[in-house]
Amino acid sequence: MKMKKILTVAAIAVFIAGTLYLLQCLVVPKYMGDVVEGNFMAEYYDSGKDHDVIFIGDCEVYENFSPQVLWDQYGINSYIRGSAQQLVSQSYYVLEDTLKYEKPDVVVFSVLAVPYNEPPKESYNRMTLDGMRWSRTKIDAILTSMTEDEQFLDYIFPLLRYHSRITELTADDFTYLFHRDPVSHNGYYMRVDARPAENIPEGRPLPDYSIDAAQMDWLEKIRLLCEENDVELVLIKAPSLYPYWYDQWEEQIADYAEKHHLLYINLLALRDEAGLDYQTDTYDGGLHLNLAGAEKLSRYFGAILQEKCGLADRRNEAPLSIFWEDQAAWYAKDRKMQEEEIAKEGR
Amino acid sequence: MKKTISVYVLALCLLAAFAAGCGGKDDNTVTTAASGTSGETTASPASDETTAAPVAAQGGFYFSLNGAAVSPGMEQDALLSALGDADNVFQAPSCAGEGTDYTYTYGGVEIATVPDAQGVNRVNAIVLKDDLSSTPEGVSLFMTMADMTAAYGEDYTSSGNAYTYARDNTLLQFIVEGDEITSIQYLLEE
Repeated sequence: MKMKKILTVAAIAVFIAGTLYLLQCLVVPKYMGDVVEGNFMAEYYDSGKDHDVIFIGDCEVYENFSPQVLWDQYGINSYIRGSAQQLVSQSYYVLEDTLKYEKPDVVVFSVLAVPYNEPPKESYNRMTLDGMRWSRTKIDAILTSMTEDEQFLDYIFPLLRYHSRITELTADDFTYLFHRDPVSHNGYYMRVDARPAENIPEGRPLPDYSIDAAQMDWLEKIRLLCEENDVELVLIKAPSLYPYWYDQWEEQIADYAEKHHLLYINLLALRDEAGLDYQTDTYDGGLHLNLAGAEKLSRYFGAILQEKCGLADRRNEAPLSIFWEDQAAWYAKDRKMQEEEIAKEGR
Repeated sequence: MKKTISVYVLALCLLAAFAAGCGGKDDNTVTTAASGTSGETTASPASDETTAAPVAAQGGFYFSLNGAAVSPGMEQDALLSALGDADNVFQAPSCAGEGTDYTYTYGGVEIATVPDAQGVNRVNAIVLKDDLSSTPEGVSLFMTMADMTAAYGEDYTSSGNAYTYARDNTLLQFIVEGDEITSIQYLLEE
C-alpha cells in the first residue's frame, strides 16, 4: 500500500515536471522567423570547434564577415560568436565560454561596443545569454548583464518569464518545439538584399569623449584572457557607417592597442581599399553589409589575417574540406532562397 | 482512486492557471514588435518592459521650429504632423528587430527619435547644427557663455565643457569651447 502511494506521488511529480517542461519548450521564443539572432549563440556548440579564428562582438561581426569566404579564399576555419548588441562584458564571457571548447589561434573582437556603452536590455540579454550552455561562465554572464527588472530565476526557468506567451503562440512554436533549423553560416547572418546608404548623420557633439573606465576594464579582461590562453587578440572596427565612430574614440582604442602590442584594424577607414560600395554593399543604408559587402570585406580581411597572424591554409585537411563543402551548399541555398524572395517581392 | 484523480485535476488546474499568466511583470510577455522599415517581427520580450521611458512634461524645454513647439519626449507622429516632411530622413533599424531610430533634418536642425520601452518612437534629441536657428530664449551657436547664463541663469550642472539645464524630464545642453557655444542640444532626460 505504501509502495503504491510512493509510486503515485512519483508519477504525479513526473507528470507535473514533464508538463512544465513541455510548456516551457512551447512558450520560449523560437527565433525562427524573420528575427533569427536569438539562435546564434546556441548554434556554436554544434560546430566542429577547432577554429583558427573566432570573432566575438555585436552585429558588427555577425553581419559583416563571411567565414565561408575566409575558408574558400584562404583556408581559414573561423566562427563568429556574435549576438545582437553584445555588451563588452558579455563578449568577455562568450570568449571564456568558447575557450572551454577550443583554443583558436586568433580572436577578433569588434570594438564598437567599448565606447558605445549601450545600457543592457532584456531582449538583447536573452538573445545572447539563453543560447549559452549552462556553466559558471553563463551564470556570471547573467548576473553581470541583468537589468533591474530581470530575475535570475527567469533564466533558469524561462517558463517563468514567457508563460503568458501561451495566448500568442504561432505555428513556429509547435514546429520548433524541440529543435531549431540552422539560421547562420558559422555565425554569419546572411542578407542578400540591398538598400543604399544615404543621409548618414554625423555624430552629435558629446560633452565627454573619454571611454568609460569600466568598459576599458572589460576590454583589458578580454586581452588578459587571450594572453593566458596564448591566443592572439585582434581588434577591429567594422566598416559600418552608423552608429558614428568618433575620432576621439579611435584614438583611445588605437592607443590601447599600441600600448599592448595588439593588431588593431579600422576597417571603416579602409572601406575604399576593401572595395566597398555603400550603394550596393549594404542592406540597411550603411549600418551593416549585405552578402556582396561581407564577401568583399572577408576577402580583404582574410588576406590581413593570413599575412599578419600567420594563419595556415587548411584546405588540404580532408575532414575540414568536407565540412566546408557541406556548408557551401547551405550557403548557396540560403543565398538562392533570398534572391528568389527578393525577385518575388520586387525588392 | 478518486483521491488520485483529484490530485491530477488540481495539478492540471494549477498548471493551467500558471500558463495563462498569473500576474506579475510579464502579462504581455513577448509580444510581436514590428521593426519599422523592414517589417521584421521578433519574439523577444523587449516590447513588454514595464519601465516607461520618461516623457517630457508640458513644462520642459522646447524648441520652436517652423512655428511649432518641438520637445524631447514628443511622439514621432506628432512631430511629423507639426513639422511636415523633413529635408532628409535617416533610418537606422536596430539589430534583431528592436525598432528603428530616425534622424530628421530640417534645415540646420537635426531631430532624432528612438523607440521607447513600449515601442513608440519619441524625440530624444534636437540638435542645432548652425547659427541660423536659436533657442526661444535667443541663444544660438557661437554666442558666449555669458549669453547662455543671461538667458538661462546659473542653475546648470557642468561636466567638462558641457553645461546642462534640466526641466521636467528635458535637458538643454550647451557645449562651450573657448567661451564660444559650439553645440546646443535638447535631450530627453534618461
